[in-house]
Amino acid sequence: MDVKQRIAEANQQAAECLTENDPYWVDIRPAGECVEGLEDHMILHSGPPVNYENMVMLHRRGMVSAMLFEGWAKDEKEAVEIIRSGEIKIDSALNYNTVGAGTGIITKSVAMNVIEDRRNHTTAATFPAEGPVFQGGFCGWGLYNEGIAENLRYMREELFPPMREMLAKNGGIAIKPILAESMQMGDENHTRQTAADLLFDKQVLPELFELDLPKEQIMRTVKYIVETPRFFHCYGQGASRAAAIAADGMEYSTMVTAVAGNGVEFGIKIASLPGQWFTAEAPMMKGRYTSTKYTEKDQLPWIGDSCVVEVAGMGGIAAAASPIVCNLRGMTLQESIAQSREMENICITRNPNYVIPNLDFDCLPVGIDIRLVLKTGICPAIHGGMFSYEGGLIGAGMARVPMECFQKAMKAFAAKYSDRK
Amino acid sequence: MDQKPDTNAEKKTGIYKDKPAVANLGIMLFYQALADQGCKCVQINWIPEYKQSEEIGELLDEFL
Repeated sequence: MDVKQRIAEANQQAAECLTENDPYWVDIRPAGECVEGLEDHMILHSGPPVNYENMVMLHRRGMVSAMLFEGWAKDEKEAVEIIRSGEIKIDSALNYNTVGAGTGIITKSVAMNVIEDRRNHTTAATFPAEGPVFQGGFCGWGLYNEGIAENLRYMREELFPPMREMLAKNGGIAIKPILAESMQMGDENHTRQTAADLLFDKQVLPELFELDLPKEQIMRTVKYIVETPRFFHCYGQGASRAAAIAADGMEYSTMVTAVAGNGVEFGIKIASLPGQWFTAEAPMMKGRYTSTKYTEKDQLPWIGDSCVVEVAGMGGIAAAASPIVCNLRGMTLQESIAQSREMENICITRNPNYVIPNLDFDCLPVGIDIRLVLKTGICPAIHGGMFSYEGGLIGAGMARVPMECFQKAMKAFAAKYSDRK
Repeated sequence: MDQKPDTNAEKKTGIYKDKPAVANLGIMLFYQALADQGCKCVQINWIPEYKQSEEIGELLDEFL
């Protein structure tokens, strides 16, 4: 078998990790118990690895916030001193079986959703939605105050126990049917989860009400679920991450398994070189701001790991499923369809689970192949939220993964697999 | 403003004789502008072949 055949075979297997996956939400546990390799005095962040000195302010503040949340420092000054001393291990969340949405700060005591992929035999942990109570912002947005920290503790101690009891009773909630159905109801499952939220609620709420717990306790959890916008987002990310992890380490595969930014650099990883990042300057997003007071000057270059859903064929790949999201950028229905059709040129296969009415019931493409990106010059379209330099979500839009990431990945792939050395 | 009568109308031949029917390749903007004017047109999604560097081109020859 020649190298091209080996690649084709490996990519087919890698793509099957994405299309044949079987993810279930099975538990909520402290990150220290479900993120493999997450040690004490260790902080994970979104995007490619970056050291404290080179971090954008949002990540720096996240580091300090994590130090205070865990009680590793008594104040900001001490936290910075300890971080700079090198006592704290800092790493990218995507180097582990987790995903760092937004700033993606994860430490051992933070409660995480646990997603178990029963086909791929992998688990991934995702940061839960931080609820409807706006304590001046959210941790994931790069903000921090005592109210935000207290909310995280409140979620862990008060809101999550009924959910855990429900999951123990029913054995887990299947995620894939919700993703598949919501894709036919206007969600692309990156920027929009309107349908997925309702489908999730329909399944989960009756089971919560059946628990033998005080009504007030159940209602607190129910309100948290139904009043939190885009509640299902973290489950889509967890399912995608668990599938991508399964492809990591697959020899000869040129499929992309991670796409993320840290506000400075943007990076990708590929299945056959799981320990390596291929980076370029983080792109800016085009889209719509939440207020006319914001302009591109306020927008931080791409930060966050949520493009893990694009890795699994959702978000920007699935634009045709959600012309509503694309219209936020002024796109027409035809242009939304054209975006997904364009992505077909750079993907390994189609996902039979995501059959899209706007594509005349064609299936969405899935499995980005670095070779096809380089051959066609078509960079993957990615949807996401815009963050400001000061922290906080200021809009939503789209960007393209920089071509330089794919060029570097191809050269590294050749260094490992070329016979022409 | 009054339009002047087209005194050359009877002399039009070939493609100028009938209303145009357009197959637009590539940029959607042209298709949209024609469609907005009631022109019979179809859009063909097409982009020119992408040229990578020689080094990447050689790697693609080897691996794709």
